[in-house]
Amino acid sequence: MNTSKTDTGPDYLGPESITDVARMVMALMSEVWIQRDRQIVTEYLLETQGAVTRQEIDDFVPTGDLAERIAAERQRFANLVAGAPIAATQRSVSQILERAGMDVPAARATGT
Amino acid sequence: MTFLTRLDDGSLKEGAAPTFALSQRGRAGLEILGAIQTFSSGTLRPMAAANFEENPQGRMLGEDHASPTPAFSERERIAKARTVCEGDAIYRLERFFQRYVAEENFNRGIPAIEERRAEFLAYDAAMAQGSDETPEAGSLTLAEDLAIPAWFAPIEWHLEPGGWDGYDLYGALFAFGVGPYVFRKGGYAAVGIGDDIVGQRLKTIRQFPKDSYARIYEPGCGGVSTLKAVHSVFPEAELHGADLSPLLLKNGARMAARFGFPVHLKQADCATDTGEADASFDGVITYALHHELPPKANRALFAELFRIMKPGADIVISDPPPFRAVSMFHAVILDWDTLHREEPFFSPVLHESLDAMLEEAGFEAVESYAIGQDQYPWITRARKPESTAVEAQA
Ligand SMILES: C[S@@+](CC[C@H](N)C(=O)[O-])C[C@H]1O[C@@H](n2cnc3c(N)ncnc32)[C@H](O)[C@@H]1O
Repeated sequence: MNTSKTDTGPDYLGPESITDVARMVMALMSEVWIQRDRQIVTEYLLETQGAVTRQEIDDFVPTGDLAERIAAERQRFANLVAGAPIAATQRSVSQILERAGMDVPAARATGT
Repeated sequence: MTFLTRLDDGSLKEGAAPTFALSQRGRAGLEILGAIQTFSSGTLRPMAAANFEENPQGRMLGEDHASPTPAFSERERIAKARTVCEGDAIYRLERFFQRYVAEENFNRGIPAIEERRAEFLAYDAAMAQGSDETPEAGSLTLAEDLAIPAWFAPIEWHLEPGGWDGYDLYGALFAFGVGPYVFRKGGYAAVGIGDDIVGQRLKTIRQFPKDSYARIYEPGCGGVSTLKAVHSVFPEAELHGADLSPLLLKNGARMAARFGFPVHLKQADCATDTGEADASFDGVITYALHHELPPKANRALFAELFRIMKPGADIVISDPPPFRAVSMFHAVILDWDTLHREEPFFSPVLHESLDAMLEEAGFEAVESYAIGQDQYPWITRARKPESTAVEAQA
């Protein structure tokens, strides 16, 4: 173990573990998305049928407009999380709006 | 590179209620992988390509790569270009996501299909009852004592645990999980972002020069996705396919019966012995095959295909483009699959020329060209001469 001292104590993992840390972040990202998808599905079923069972949520497959809405939300989520490293430097108004999955107003885009 | 095997489940079309589907957790866990891959290939990769072009060493190597008299060998150029790429944090992030998605296709996908095993088997049985899976429609010949080539047996292609035959539900996993939720978006290996791999197969089949074929053969046919496309373009043709994998062949035979087109499938090592008669086919198609064979096995395969083709018969090939046909940056991207997505023969084959191999085997009218973005699909086609030199002398 690399026990070189840092301000916050010994460096347990060492710089060579950065990929492992990224894998952990990615696993969490997937888990968060799965919850987010479940929430959208649950809200949809509640809105359209008033009550819902766990089985109905498990078995539900979004189609049509709902599937498109979820796909757009999912891509936005992926862009924001996986794109967090480039968000440090890609910081124009249009880049920020694009990452958020939003239209870039013409007036704004010219100002960047 | 995986092109497997998404014989579309028509019931998953928009608006229709699916008859078999993954759970919410299984579906969402794979869908997010598709979104990560889209971001990686669609946003990060063009940034990494631009960084490479802006790097003086990268630009120099790109010019050398395009030059008719390059200073460096192809292997040297790729090694140097890889070093340039690896100095770029965006490139490393992009490659990390590619590797992560390739691992997770199975880490997430296997549990997602396993938790639905009972439902899948019930669905599968119901589908079988509704279709005519009788042997008259086609045939399946397995060869239990077939010698599996030593170069093939230990490989977990594309990080697939246990290889093609490593898990009985791989067919279902691709058809109902990884296929629609991850691969459909393209952006992996040679497949460009947004590319439609079903459409690419059809476009490939249309490269056959004649209007009609009586008998067509596909070595390495896997789960018959390509033969299905052949049937839709040449419905009159009698279709024959062979593969090393019994699991893929069994799935393929079932799928062909369900989709209502007869095929004759055989387990065989096509590079050694197809088991087919001399001069018995009018056309041969190969799809995503040659990059999975060592160059030596490819040469043997072409000799064997030449033998079973009739004089004047056509061969059409779709495989990733050779390194010489793509940009320096894209060559690094393709080369990466060799070590990082368990494709041991990817680079050895992409350094070679299938054109030259076909000519060595005796084919004529050999030509190759791209029909899609990033030079993919890359088509190579040729013809067996009407009369071979030996026959002409006789
Ligand atoms: C990437 S898959 C492509 C499958 C199919 N052509 C398609 O378009 O879906 C390559 C296939 O080639 C098969 N294969 C590799 N070497 C072979 C050989 N020597 N003889 C027969 N099949 C082989 C593999 O088992 C695998 O199914």
